Amino acid sequence: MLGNNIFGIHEQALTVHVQRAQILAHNLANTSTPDYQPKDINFKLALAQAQDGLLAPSLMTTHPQHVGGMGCNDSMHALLETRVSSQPHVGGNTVDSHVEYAAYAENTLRYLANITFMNHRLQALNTVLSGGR
Amino acid sequence: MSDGLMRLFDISGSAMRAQALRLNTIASNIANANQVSSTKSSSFQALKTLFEARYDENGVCNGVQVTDIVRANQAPIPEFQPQHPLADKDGYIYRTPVNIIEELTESMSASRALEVNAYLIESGKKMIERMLQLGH
Repeated sequence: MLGNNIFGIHEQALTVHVQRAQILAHNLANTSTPDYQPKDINFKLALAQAQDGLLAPSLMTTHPQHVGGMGCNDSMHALLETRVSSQPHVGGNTVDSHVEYAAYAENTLRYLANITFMNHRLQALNTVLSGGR
Repeated sequence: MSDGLMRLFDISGSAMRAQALRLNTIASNIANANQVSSTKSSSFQALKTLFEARYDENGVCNGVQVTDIVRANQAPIPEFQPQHPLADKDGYIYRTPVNIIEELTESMSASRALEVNAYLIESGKKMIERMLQLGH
């Protein structure tokens, strides 16, 4: 029960959710930028890469014991896909802000669900450590 | 440069800054919409903000920036009003070519974008809050 990775897949999923939030916020920031095309992360692929340890942390680590951070980094670019708009746009900008908004809300919800799962995990460990009292 | 959830504030903050600047130029355009001048060249020209997606030194998405504010080069509208104090020797005054309807719709779009980004900051705050309460 107490391994190196007590949170299981949720730890990596959280990283990918944070990165997706950044990309969706970037799309929403560029709703009036000419020629901007919205991107989204290929979640399945990103999560698989994160589990393989391929999604390298982007905080600078100058010591083996330093902890890396979460963020979209170089290895992320291969995971980005351009979202195809459902309708034609004038001016080259193909951001559908309602689509991005919905995706962002969904992503936030999934992130919060992730945290809830992690919280339950910690509560379970707490129960074990306190001998069930 | 901050990373992770904190970058959300950078991204949405940059968008709010850009949209606020756009709103300011629109307000200035509307305020000057009824300006009249006696020559073509001195006529007021609408200001337009140019946006560009912003990336940091590693090519990571980082919001939006205003690259320039340019004058829309539209021809002033001549109007024959010989009795007008600003009329030139042929009796013409020149009205600004600002399109009020265009400016108003753009101001609606800008204020909606401001609202959306304010919401994104609010929800980013919530995400960090929940993260900090992990284990409590």
